[in-house]
Amino acid sequence: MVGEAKVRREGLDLYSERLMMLAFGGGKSGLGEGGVKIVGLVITEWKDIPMELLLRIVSLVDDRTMIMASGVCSGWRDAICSGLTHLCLSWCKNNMNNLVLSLAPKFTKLQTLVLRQDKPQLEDNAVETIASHCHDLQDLDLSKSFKLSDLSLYALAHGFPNLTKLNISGCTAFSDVSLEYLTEFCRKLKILNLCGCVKGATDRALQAIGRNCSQLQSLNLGWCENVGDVGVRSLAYGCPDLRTLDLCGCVCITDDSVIALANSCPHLGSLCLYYCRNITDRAMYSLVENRMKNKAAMWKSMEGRYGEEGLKSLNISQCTAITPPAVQALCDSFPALHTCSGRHSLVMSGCLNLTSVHCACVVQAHRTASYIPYPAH
Amino acid sequence: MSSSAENPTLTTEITKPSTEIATETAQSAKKINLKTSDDQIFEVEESVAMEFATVKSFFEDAPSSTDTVPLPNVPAKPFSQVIEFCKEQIKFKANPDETEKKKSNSEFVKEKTNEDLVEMIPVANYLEIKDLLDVLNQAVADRIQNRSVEYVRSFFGIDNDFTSEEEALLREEHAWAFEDVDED
Repeated sequence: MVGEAKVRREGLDLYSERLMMLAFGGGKSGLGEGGVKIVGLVITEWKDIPMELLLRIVSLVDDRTMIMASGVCSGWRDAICSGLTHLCLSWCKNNMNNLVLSLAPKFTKLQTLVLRQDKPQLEDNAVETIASHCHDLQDLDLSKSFKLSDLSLYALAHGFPNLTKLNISGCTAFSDVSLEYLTEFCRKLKILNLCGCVKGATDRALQAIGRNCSQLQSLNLGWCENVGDVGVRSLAYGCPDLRTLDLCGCVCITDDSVIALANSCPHLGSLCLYYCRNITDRAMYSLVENRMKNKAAMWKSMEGRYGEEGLKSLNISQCTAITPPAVQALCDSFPALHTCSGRHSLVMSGCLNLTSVHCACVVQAHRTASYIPYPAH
Repeated sequence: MSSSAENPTLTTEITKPSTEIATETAQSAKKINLKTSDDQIFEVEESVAMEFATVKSFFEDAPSSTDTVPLPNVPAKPFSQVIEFCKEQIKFKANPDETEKKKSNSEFVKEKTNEDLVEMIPVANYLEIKDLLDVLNQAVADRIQNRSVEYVRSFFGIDNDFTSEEEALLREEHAWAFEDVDED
């Protein structure tokens, strides 16, 4: 009996030891030089806290406090630097550039970096530093970096072959030549925001995107008034997986753009054509037609995923040339488009002649005396 | 060391009068003896001990065990507080009420000193009590949020081991990061 108990106790000791090894397995932080402070397997010193545990606490404080924590002691610095994958410095009012220059060489495991600015601070040298140290980066937000030049895009092209998400909205200085260059290297881009990049987002840039970034799913071209049909067509043919496209304020595009998208991008779920005043009924009917075609094809393939496909959101505000029958036909063939309040996903503000268009819910409500909620699909 | 008055579960020796044990909830409840790193023995109800994943899996590996289980990583003082937490948790297991549970959890950490929290985290981590660890981590995070590096060092009892050059760089970094925050 006594012997048995002893064996068991040893068993637990061994088990504890294994646990400790597990706890420390994540990083060398706890076992750094300067002596191991584990007496009888007890963590007696917080500087030796297992990396995984420290990161769990640090993930609960804001980024500012996290930067402070990385300066507590060398053990914490090493743990945080090797474990931190997500950083946002958007709260920086004046010193973002200095902070990036100082932090990027340390936080080399970053996967997501948000550097959105209200007041432009970031300069090319900061982006170059990020590009030469943070090679795991997949998601970068540089929106409203007015001060950045093409040098930044060249640095990104060379530094981040695995970039999947890039937001450079409002970076007005980028040219289409540098954007074209970027697409040749960052071929895994899935989400790209070019809103307001008037100089960069041209047909030349869109042709390059269509040529190089076949995995693209979401693109924002808001207020890029140099975008034309040639560019959108190349985009549609080159990026068949496109799901979300914002062409708001792309005043030059015509029905040809929408027809190309309708023909080539069956997954398109969200389209914004706000203020695209050249758009007419032809564009609407091409969406309807392709819907019918896709529907038939999908029934044939018995995928059963028919409900998930098709437009879920469309904005045709200020597209004053479109007439009610075309939009009603569209609304009827895409059941996810709603004009009713609460699920307002077909937006037509400023189109006074379209007030007669309604989604199925509204029609139903009118038909019945008492309101019956439309069944969710 | 903490006195037994402060921690009703603490029995310095197993020779505690049986009448006293009987006053605790169900008489038939199985008790388990757990021995801390500073050689104090805690007699804990099985349901409470099973909250400790580390202990639970020990018993799963050796189901017939009734002997005292040594916890070489766990000092008595934080352990008594951990037991206090787990006893509360068990009540919510029988009768789940998220709002009350949250309230009880925040009450629990509110009355703890910084030192208490800092001592309990390694214990909760070692014993794998996920709920407690989450509560403690959040409490510590709340208490160090926007504090200076000196404050955090003293909070955790950590010595500054940077060279003066490294320290100078870090100071600059902190000045940039904390430009518009009041010092504590």
